[in-house]
Amino acid sequence: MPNGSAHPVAAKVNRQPQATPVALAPLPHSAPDLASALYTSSLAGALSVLNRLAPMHLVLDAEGRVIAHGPTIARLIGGGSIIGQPFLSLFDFRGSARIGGVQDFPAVAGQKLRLIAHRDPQAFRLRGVLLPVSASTVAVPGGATRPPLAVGHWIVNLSFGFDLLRAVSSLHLTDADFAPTDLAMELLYLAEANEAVTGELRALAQRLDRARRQAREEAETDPLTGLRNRRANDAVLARLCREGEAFALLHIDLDYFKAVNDRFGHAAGDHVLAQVAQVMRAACRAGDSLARVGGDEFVLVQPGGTIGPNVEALAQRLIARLSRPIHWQGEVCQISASIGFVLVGQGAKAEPIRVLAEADHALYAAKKAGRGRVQEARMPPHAA
Amino acid sequence: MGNAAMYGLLLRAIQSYLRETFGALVWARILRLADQPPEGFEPMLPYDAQVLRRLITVAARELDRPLDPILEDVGTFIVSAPSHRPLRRLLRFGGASFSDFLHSLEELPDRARLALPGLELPQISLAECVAGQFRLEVATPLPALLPIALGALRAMADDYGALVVIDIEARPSGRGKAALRVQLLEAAHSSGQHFALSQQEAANGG
Repeated sequence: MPNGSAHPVAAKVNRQPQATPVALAPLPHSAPDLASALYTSSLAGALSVLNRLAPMHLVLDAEGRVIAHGPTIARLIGGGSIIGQPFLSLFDFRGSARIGGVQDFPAVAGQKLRLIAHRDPQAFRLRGVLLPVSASTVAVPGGATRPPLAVGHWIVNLSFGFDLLRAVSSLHLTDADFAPTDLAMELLYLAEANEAVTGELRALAQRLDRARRQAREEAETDPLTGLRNRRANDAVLARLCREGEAFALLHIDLDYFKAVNDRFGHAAGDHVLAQVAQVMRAACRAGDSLARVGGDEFVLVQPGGTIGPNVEALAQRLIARLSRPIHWQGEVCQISASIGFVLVGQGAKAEPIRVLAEADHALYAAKKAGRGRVQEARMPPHAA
Repeated sequence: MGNAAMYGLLLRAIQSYLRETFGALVWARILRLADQPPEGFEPMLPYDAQVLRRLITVAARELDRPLDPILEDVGTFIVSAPSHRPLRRLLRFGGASFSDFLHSLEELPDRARLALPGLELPQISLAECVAGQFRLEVATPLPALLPIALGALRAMADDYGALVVIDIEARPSGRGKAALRVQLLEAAHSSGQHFALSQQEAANGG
């Protein structure tokens, strides 16, 4: 068995990982050159062809020991030279191939193999193919033959497969580490292009989502007070009725608001409405729905069955707070409120339109009884 | 999508350039005068050539500058602005040297389609008449594309560290194909920008 590690080309490819690519021996320029390189056993020439065509190849002797390899293999394995080491001590076979020794090589020759490099801490999943050097691959001029390319030897070629991106990143590979015909550059390009385009699409989706939320919020919000509007209130009411939940609905109408508008103008009116909204919002619990449904009309919906007895007290409290003077540009605006409310029991599945009508009716009664009053609807809809 | 997809990308590039260079107020005014919605353009949505023509006409008038230099700056911007780093990287995959890169431009429409199926870029053909003297023919119905390409090529040459002279070929009478002439004076004039295949490595300045 000749000593492959002494071969000049094999020694030359063991460069430092960060070094610039080694200058390869001049390449044969045509197929006849290549053939003659092989035929005359011009081994350096033949190996430099292999190095360029398949920078991740290994040449094994008949015992399965590495006697030469391509430049990128050195990057992959790292550490010291692997010349002379058994191939099977360097790589693990994955997949269905059962390979215990060099005697199993013929069974997997030419098949697609899955391998992992032992010494490689990153455990790149490699693709590979193993082929015997046969008499038809290399002619043997009598007695002149010297390894690495001789009958009975093996050539293994590897590639990174899907681990290409990871390998490029952690092994600091450059395009010189791949064969010029390799599609690695295209794959890297595609991965980055994909990421860029997906990023743009994600950004577009986010912008559209924000715009949609904003449009929806605007469609459901009263711009002056920031409360919900009638449409949003209708949606809340419809849902509670459909699901048969218990809730209280308060219909609140400001008293003397028109007088404020008439006396101090619309700016004062708007100021009062904003203050009123603040007072009412402060009286709300999380989960309540507060809407401005008309010029000076508001609806407060409180879901939950246990609040019934407290609703009247809440209404009275609201009226007391709304009756406090509101200051505007040195003037004092004095308003109050009338409230009609209705309690809807659990499972009543009332008609929303009926609930609103009952509350409206109660409000009318409260107004009629004098200002600043609270009136419960006499016939709760669930009794109907 | 066809050409419509390209207009989305172009409009967005012009938007980024004008907004980052001249400020949000100037950009908002240009949008208003060009009768475009205040939120601007989406790179992934289709637009037509008319929108682009109108926008650049208004922009040139508002900035009180001739159109071509503005478009050249747009081209330079989309390759060299930090916000457009992904595009610069994608272009650098075209070749290891600037002349390699020039040759890769013939496959630019294919590269673009691979990145964004449905995107149709104009065909480009490259002739190297004398060593270092290139003629880049662009089959485009959109004259604005040429100065943009010119600016982008200058920036790419800079990126590679190559010293070049690029100009738009004067059109012969009638409607010849639009072409750029590129003279590569020195391939390694400066060190250029480093290009690492791995994105992380590039991001770490490696």
